[in-house]
Amino acid sequence: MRSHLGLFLIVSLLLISGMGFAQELQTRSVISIGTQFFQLKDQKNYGLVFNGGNISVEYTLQKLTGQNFFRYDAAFGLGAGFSKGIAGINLHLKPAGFSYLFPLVSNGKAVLYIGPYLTMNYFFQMYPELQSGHALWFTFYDAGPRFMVDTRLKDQAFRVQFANSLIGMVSRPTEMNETYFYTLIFFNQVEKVHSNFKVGSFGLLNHPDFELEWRQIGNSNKSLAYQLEYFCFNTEPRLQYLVHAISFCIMLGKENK
Amino acid sequence: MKTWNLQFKILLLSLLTITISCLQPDPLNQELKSIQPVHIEDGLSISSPNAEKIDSAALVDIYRDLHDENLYWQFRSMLVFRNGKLVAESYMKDDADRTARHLIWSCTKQVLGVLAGMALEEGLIESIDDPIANYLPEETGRHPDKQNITLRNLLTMQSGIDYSNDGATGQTDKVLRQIPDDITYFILSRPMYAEPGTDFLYKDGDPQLVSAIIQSRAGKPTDAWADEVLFSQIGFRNYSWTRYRDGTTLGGFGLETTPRELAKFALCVADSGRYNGKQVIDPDWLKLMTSEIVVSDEDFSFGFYWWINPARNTQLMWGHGGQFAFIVPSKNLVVIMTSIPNTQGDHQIHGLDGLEIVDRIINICL
Repeated sequence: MRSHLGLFLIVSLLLISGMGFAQELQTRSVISIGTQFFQLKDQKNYGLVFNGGNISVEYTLQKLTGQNFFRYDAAFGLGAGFSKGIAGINLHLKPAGFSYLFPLVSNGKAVLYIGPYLTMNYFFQMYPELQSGHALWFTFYDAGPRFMVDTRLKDQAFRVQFANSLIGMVSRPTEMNETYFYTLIFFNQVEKVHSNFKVGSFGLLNHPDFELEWRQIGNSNKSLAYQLEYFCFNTEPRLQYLVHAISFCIMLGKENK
Repeated sequence: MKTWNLQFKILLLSLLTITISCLQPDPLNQELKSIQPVHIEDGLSISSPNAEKIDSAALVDIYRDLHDENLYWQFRSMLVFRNGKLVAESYMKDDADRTARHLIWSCTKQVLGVLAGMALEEGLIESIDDPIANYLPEETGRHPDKQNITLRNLLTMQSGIDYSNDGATGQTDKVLRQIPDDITYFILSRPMYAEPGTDFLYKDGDPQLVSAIIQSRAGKPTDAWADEVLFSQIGFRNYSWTRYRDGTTLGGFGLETTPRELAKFALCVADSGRYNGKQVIDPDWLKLMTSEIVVSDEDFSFGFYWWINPARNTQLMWGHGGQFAFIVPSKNLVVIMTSIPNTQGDHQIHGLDGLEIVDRIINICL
């Protein structure tokens, strides 16, 4: 447990120090509006799979610093899922995600970057018809390697990314209790979603993330992206969350060079 | 070029695979294995359907339906007792539910109804027609409009106090979230909407006041007193009963127990207050408690916290979500059903749903 926490802190420090030392050459700010199809399977919901949709808004700041690539992103999503005619409200908040990538291979047509990432994610659900006044949540901070390929095909530019968690911290409702003797007051919820963090690796969570972005080179301020993200918590109460997202991305302002 | 084509196809296939990937739900119910009860040394007498004159094959069919999640996905358990003996049991979700405690929600009220009779018998309460001011003088002193409410009014949900069980906007929501500092004052501070004894309104506030009265007279929390006078007498050991944060035992809900433990109450009531041959509860109280005192709707009447279905002459304990103990005196039958506890609206098992299954069991009693 302590070694996991130590590794987590080291990755975080590397990312933050990378930000500080980087010399800014290119900066892109992108806002993405996306529709997500999600599936949520929570052991606290008796193994039911809730299928539904989210509307999400994501902000991404990308900096190409020398040969290296830095990315910060934040996202907010809101939607609902359904199972057996029962509705569940789903709220997603990603206050920060950082990646700092280094070029590994370049052949003139494509560049492969590799580096660490760190993300913070908060998910909050309510199922009034299934769980009365219970609020369920899963919070996780995770870090691991990210791979990114930038390539061009004629006048089309593609960016493919894949990341997978290596270590993480997870907060979940602690017991399979059925009472809901806590309040929905904002600060109580803030406390709840930061409570009882567990630190671990694949035995605790797995978070693969695949992203594909396409844009026409002549029309560089707009792009289309597909993302497949999966979260799996392997300790009880178990949870799986699968997201397919299609986003329309608009670059804010002009690219700074 | 050929290599590129192969790579492209692999990439495309991979993308297609992950794009159509999806999560599969777990089965909600397990397969029916057996309805044969298991000996677990909890004091219950065990028999078989045939020995107690129930059509065994037909009973298995009923259990098979309960295990079919397309018919009933909410049920956790059903236990059938005839002649005071457990003849069949099965657990739809997990066999561990045989001994795992779960909320029985408002079945707590029916336990409190029994305890009110025992408080009367023990002399903690002089008469159920006493005004509650005799028992809670300080609390009602601050709310004089509540002084003339009697215990009988509380036991029949006719206090006239404006209290809502609504889980989102009602007073129970505040209680569940432990917002009020003092639960008794919180209930007594509610306005009156009717004269005491004139209108039936099912609510958690009235039994909560009964719990406060028993607690004030017993000099200990209601759950601790109940353990001494009742629970220990009927072997009710696997339970927990939540106290509010001011120390008052919850009266309208709060008990967590197992289906087999819940059955001990129902068996004792069904046997006119005897348990394993020993008289534990006053039979006259039980007769009054399970009599039709107030008509709730066309299907159900209400005694002292006990529900009665007059059409079937069946008495029942009934908790939110589908927690039941049905007593059918004409067939010497007791049926326990438990369900996942927090469903709402049409998604929860209603008393009439449970009675339909009880009807099927009645029809196969020889």
